[in-house]
Amino acid sequence: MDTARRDLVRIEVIGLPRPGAFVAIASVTWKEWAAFRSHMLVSLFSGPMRFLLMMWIWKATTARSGGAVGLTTEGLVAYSALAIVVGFLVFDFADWNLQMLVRTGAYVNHLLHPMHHAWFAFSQKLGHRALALLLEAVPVWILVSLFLGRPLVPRNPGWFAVSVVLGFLLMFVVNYASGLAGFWLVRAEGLRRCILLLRDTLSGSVIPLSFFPLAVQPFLLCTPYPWILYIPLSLATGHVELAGRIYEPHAIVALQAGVLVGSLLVLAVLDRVSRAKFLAAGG
Amino acid sequence: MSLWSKARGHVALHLEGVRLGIAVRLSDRLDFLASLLVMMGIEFLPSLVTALLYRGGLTFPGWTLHDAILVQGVYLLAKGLAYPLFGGMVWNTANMVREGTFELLLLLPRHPLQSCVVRAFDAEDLGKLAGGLALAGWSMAGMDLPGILPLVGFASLMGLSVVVLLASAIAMSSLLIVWVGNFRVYEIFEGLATLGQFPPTILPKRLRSLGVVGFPFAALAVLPASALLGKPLDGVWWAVLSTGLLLAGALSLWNVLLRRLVGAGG
Repeated sequence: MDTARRDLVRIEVIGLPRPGAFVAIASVTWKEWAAFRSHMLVSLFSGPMRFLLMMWIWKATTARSGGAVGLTTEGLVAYSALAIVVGFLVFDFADWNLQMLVRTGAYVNHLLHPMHHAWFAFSQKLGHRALALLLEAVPVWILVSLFLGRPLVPRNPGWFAVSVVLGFLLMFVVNYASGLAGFWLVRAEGLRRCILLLRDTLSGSVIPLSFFPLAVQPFLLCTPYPWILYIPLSLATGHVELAGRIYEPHAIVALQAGVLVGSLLVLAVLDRVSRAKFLAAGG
Repeated sequence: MSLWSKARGHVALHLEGVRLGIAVRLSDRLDFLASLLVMMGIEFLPSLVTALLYRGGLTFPGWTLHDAILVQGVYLLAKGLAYPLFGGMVWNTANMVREGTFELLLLLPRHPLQSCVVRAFDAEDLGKLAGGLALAGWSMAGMDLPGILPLVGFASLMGLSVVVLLASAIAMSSLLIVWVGNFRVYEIFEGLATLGQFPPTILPKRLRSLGVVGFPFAALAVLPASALLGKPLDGVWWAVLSTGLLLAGALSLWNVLLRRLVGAGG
């Protein structure tokens, strides 16, 4: 029993796969998802609806004050619009996928692959997010710009782009790490959704984090979630305020990169410990 | 068979569905507890947003924080009644059609829609009911007890709200008979329904009457809460009419799309 388990763990190749492998997996994922493109098109309705709701809320509530938490009404509306568009770009379900593979035992196939499963999952993310850029993010961006009557262009476009890429990577790392709970629990679905709820609240996808009490904000920043979405979004509004302090764009992007590196290290350790629990028994 | 024993058979069937639904979830209690909590927590998001807005000095015009939270509490109560009973049918239909097991429902000696509802009981959605009670309780705590008439109005409008949710569940399940495996169909519904989770004064003036025609999202929570608060019930009869039409439309959609079921799965 014990030797068998150790053998399974030994069959793994850590290290960067060839670039061709990324492209091949990503393009297959693109094809797989393109077959279900009508599912993605649901976003063309739900995305703009979420935007309209938030726009109406901001307009109704800030009618007298003209803004809140350092942002004008237009700034708040732009924040919510970009939250939806960037949300499509960084979206990820590596947690669900990994837990499904472990529960069914199909993960064993990945132990036999000449690449670590995390690389495989990341390539898949590249594939389906490339499709989402085409089918979700760009169309919704156009629709939202039509509503606003002007193209929705973020401030600090360069830093914003870098920050979205970092958020994209961080989202994957955080989700993959929470997916590792599948190695420890038989049914991890409830826990996964708890984490998802926490992620969506603390990433600032619903409301800017600067609305939270000042005393709570430092604790929020100790979690990885605000660094996924809130940082790129606040760069886009041009008002980067964390726990009551204003930051320069380059400083905040450097901090974000630091959080990414830290999370990667934590993921590497968690992955090592969790994989050892794998029994290749599922169903 | 007499009418009485027929009715008893139907009730027994649905109770068996409830019993099975609970038994399945009790097989893993930790997961069940986490699911209960998350079903409650997810629905608290609009209330969190509302509370944070009011904390930041922003308000929905004409509605206090307690009033606004009451709308969200009522929304959760309606969902907490409706979702455990038949919310799961959307998910079930999607799964069964995709796997190719939906045809088994057609072999059962009941209407397939009823078989679908019986299998739908999902105990984790009771978390929504608990959440609704908590929110409504909090917002009513400081208020005077409403009289009999507002309470009767509230109870009937709650019924209306549950019917809107039932009609939506049937319409979504029908779509999933032909739109195979699209679990995102919930998002279409949620996109419309969240408009009903906030006081109607957030909508631009000329759009406010949209809440009672077509998809009557105002009937989900705004109207029952207004009855409790003694606020005007604008367009309530329109809402009743729209709900009737919605239910009739959903049922005929089910019948039409069921005929287009293609039994290919696995």
